[in-house]
Amino acid sequence: MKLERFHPPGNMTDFNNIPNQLQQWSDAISGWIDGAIQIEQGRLPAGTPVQFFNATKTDPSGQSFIQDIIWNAFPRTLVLAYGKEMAYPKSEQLFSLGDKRPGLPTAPPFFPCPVGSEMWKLWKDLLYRPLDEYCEFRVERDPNTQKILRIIFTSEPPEYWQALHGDELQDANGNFAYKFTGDKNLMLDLYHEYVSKEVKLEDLACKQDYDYMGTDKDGKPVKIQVFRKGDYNPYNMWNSTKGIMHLSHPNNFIQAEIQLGADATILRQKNGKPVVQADALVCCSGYGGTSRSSDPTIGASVNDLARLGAYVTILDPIGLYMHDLNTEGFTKPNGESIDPREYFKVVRGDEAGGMIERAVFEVPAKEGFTVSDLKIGGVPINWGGQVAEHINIKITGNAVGPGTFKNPMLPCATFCCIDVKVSNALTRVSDIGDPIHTGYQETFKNDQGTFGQTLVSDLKDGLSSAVQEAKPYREMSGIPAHKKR
Amino acid sequence: MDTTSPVPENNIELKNYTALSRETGPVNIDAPLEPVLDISDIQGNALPGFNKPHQYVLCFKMHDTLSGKKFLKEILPHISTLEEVLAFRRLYRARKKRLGYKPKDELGATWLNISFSYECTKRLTPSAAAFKSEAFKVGLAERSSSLGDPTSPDNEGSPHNWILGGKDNVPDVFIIIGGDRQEQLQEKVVFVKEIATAFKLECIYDEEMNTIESDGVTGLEHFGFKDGISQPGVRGRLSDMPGDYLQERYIAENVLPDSLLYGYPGQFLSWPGEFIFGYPGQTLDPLIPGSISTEGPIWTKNGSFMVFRRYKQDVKMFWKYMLDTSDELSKQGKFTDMSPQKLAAMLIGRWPGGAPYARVQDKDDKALGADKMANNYFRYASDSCPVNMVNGYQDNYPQSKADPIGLTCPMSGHIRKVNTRDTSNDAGGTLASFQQRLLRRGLPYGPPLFNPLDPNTPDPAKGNRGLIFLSYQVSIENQFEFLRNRWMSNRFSPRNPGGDDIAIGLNGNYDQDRVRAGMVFDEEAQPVNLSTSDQWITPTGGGYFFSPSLSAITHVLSESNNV
Ligand code: HEM
Repeated sequence: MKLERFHPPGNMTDFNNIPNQLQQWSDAISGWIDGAIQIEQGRLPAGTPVQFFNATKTDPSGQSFIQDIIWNAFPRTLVLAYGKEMAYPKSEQLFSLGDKRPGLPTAPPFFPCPVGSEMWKLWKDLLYRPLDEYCEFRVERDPNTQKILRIIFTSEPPEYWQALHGDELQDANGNFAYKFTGDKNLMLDLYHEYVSKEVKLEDLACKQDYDYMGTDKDGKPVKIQVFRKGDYNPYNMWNSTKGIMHLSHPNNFIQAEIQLGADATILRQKNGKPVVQADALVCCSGYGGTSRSSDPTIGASVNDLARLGAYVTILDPIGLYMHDLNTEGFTKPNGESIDPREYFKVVRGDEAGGMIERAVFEVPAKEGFTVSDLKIGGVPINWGGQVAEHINIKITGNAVGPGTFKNPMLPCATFCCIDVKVSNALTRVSDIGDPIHTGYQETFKNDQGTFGQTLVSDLKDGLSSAVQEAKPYREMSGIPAHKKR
Repeated sequence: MDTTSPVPENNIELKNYTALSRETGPVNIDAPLEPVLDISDIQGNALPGFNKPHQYVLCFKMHDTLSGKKFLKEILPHISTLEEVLAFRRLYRARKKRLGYKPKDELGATWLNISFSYECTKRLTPSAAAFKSEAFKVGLAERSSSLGDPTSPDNEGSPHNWILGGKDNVPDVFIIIGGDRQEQLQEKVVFVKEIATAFKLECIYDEEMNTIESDGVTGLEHFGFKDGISQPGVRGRLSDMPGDYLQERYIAENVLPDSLLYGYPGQFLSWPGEFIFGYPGQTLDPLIPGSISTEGPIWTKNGSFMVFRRYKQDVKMFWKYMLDTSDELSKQGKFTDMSPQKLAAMLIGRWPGGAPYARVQDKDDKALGADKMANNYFRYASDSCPVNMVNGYQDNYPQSKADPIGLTCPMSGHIRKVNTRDTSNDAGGTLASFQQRLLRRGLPYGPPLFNPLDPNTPDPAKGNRGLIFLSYQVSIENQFEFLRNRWMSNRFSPRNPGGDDIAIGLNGNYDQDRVRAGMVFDEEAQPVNLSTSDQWITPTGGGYFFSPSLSAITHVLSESNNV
């Protein structure tokens, strides 16, 4: 049976009493999926079906497999760039959207514009958390002792809050397309309940337009609009300096997850051999960051299913979720193990279904000590990251009818370069044909990450028509340029 | 997907490695330049591993530091190096090949290695304060609760009850001795104990370990499975000659990229910095060497961390579960040919004889299990296919099929919980898979239990049997502990749908009554849930140690003017 409609993340209920809001949410999700399918269609040779599907429109036949794709909440990007010891403090700082990205020395800022320009100054004032694994946290400490009082975790996507604000969200091509009814008062109530009684509605809105300089199809510079005056500001102070309500890292959003899922259904080959291994695939397809825990595993898991010839999608309700906190080895000052149900309180989302949207880690008041008095494996908790690294994050993939497709494998669209003096894992992803930056060397030159000795026969047919695919890759990626990773 | 079988190419000369082969792998321009290992400085059980049928662990308290240093000077010439152990191994193999049987009566050696606890290294040199590893510094007993171990003092497995390495019986010095012949081994043990006593070292634990052989299968652990099959291949050369590799490479040079990535087929090559300090580690690209591994004190170069765990195994209880559960599954008609062995093979990931479950599902194939050219060759994300080999070997066993969801080889199977191979995992892509490897050097202790499936089988040893688990790695936290905490006892990682490592796992999570739960798929690809709280393995001791280079012992640890 076709899915009737897409549900809000974690089946959260805030939209239930807002006129048309549930349908509007479903329409937006459906539109983003269709947009992603259209992009993949443009990559594949004419007549080749796309394996990614919209469950409200397609009801594929065949056996259905559901696979939770799991990754760790603590940013691997920071660990790889700075080492664990330094990654913990870094992970608790906020960073400006006008600056370079922490841990990614060669990546451009998210919203490029001339440094010093008025446009840039606006971005410069907006702050985000450098936590790019679809889970963010805020550590609250006792101002006198610096001991940790609580750690608040969220996996709520910004789109949900933009929708609650009654904004118009962009489609896969960056056009404002999905208008929501919204309920600003409900939004304010939620901020009051979870962040602070002092929050005022005007604190949450953009005071002016936010634009940046991108390029159009012909490579000419153009101004691209991100938020309009009066829109919800996801980087507002109550979701940055003064509190945490939802995800703030510019890469942590639902539309990116959908696009990554769709991109990963494209099969890839190098010199006639299927590209299989996760890091090699990221480098070949250019759909994410090699240095994260999330992207390589989401991409490769989806691609594994696609290589079985199945229809693939992300299971409804589409969202980003904390799945569980594993507290094995967490001990109280007296050496006893802690009871996670008392210490890790889920306040939003569906705990039983492993779709946790918001949770608070703190010591129950009756105990009379703080989070910093707890130990993990004999080591005191001094940083939020020590808890985050025991949280599993997930999305759920759904594969239907393995053996349905025999799609051609496309050649690589991108390649990676690495400078081991900078890091053992961070790479630059470049379009095929682009020059290699000084100090860097090309990776996977001998087809590492591919398997199979002989050219697969039905793959040969796909080759010629697919060769053109490589070049327009970037321009065609439907995620608004500022939201591309 | 179709793949044609490889055709041996006529113009390629077949290679058979001998006792003195100096070109043991590709030297073409694609082959990365591998570092030259300090073969006379690295202890031989880390690399290449003693691999002896009889071994002995001796643990000591060092009561007097200055005497202890004299002991080190005394023992130094007896410590076996990578060079010695490897030279013997290659000779042994060459003889075995020509004789057609093990040259046991003709060749024999007895090797010794030594390691130290953090507290002991601190006493031997103040520079030990620079160690960074939290796990090494706080010690195994403190970390125990995060490794799934029982915490309740009523449980034999809690550190309160450990026979060593618990609250107040942490050894300072760990010595392992391995030999081909038991008499020679005993002589060496007596010799070491004597000089130790002379220098005020008190032996607080000693234990004999022996390989188990049954029905023609060697190298069994007590549950009855062939162990020690999958070990990382370690890159690095023995000299500055171009092809003089520590790990022989068996895939024909013209098969790219495989010939550059594997030792034996399926044995992925890791950069030595994952196991030994002072060498490049892994990067995202397996052919590009990473930065040099270091740890605190500079004298850690050529050294390695060693994890020692003594796990008691309840063999009867293990097989009772397999018997009862396989019986139930058969009755439910979910599997044809279900048997205790098949269920256990699913939960280990290999059949008792060592054949990978990913390659054969109907029944054990002992020939495949014993065949080094094939027993580690399988993948999870894609089909495997035969490759051309330097020695002309043809792999005629059934190949493995892509199994990303674990429909065939369950994701809760032990070997899938600790090595994700070509699939991704919760820590990211393939790099993450290859940064979690261990050099496993364990061996069983205690006598084997015969007829374990018979509940009335006599057990004169009263259950005293298990595994002395030993592993060498550069990071206790990111390698041994990671596997134990983040993968084996986490129901949802490294991949789903899976569950806990039912066979070897321990569940130390609050209020879960130590239940290990997981799932396998039946023949209709329907999930079948399995669980148990039986304590099949019980930790009964151990410790975290550092295994230094010979030069560090000579110039730093035994040096008497630094205390
Ligand atoms: C009593 C305890 C244990 C028993 C009986 C046991 C048994 C086995 C067996 C039968 C195999 C398959 C043979 C092979 O591939 O070499 C294996 C593989 C392995 N075990 Fe264990 N094991 C135990 C504990 C552990 C622990 C505590 C760890 C790590 C924390 C571990 C890590 C591994 C690894 C990494 C492999 C190789 C997997 C692969 O590369 O495919 N084992 N073990």
